[in-house]
Amino acid sequence: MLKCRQIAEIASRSLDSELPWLLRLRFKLHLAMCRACRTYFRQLNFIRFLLRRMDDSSFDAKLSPEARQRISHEINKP
Amino acid sequence: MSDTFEPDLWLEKYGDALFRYALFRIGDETAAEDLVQETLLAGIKSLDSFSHQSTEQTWLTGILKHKIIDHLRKRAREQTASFDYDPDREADGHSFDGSGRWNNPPSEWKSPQQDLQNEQFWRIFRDCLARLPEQTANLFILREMEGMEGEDLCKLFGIGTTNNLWVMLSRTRMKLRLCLETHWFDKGK
Repeated sequence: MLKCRQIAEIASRSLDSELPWLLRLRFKLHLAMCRACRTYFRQLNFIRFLLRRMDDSSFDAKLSPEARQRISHEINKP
Repeated sequence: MSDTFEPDLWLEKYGDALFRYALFRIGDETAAEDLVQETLLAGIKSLDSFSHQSTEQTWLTGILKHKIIDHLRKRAREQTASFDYDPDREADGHSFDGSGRWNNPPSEWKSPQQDLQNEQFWRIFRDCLARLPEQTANLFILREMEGMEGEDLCKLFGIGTTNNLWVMLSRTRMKLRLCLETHWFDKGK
């Protein structure tokens, strides 16, 4: 029986590479029985989703006026 | 077109978007500003090769993407000493007890979809990313935002085996998850 600690690592690994079939089976079996690990796995997926959405996020970052001026100076050099 | 070309117009139109793109991937404001500058300079230099098959912004973002990867490769080379794979289990934090069970099981996150419209949420998310050790954060971002594959990442960061890479990514996700839970989802509980 795999421990939650191992399952947490396997859950992450399943996002990066295909699990060997037996491991995948044991992983699924554990998830079916363990609510905490199910939640963990769902949240890892959500974090991935967040990173893919970050470019379109409402987080507003802008060049500072100083940086803007510096860059303008550099790109207008003959 | 080169005769009437105004570099400042590009800065005006694409500067912030390029800055955001770089900032989200490398986390370092000064470096992100430098990359925006380098990208615009490179774009101006090779303006003739812009084919108009893509938009200017897509084209410039493509240039920036290469520059980001170069930048991260350089950083990785400078930092190999502090980036040795650390086999001890302590990095799990105190998430598990001695027999491998959850100490504090992950709590249910309430309607996380709604938070996507919330700038404060994204600020917390960015702060959590910024707390990660620089090299693991870089690694993780390339994996998640650029979809870079395991073997390429190992090469870029000089990691011995993909197995070590999986472990690093797992610890990174674990830290990030805990940070989000602590500073956003469990706030006010």
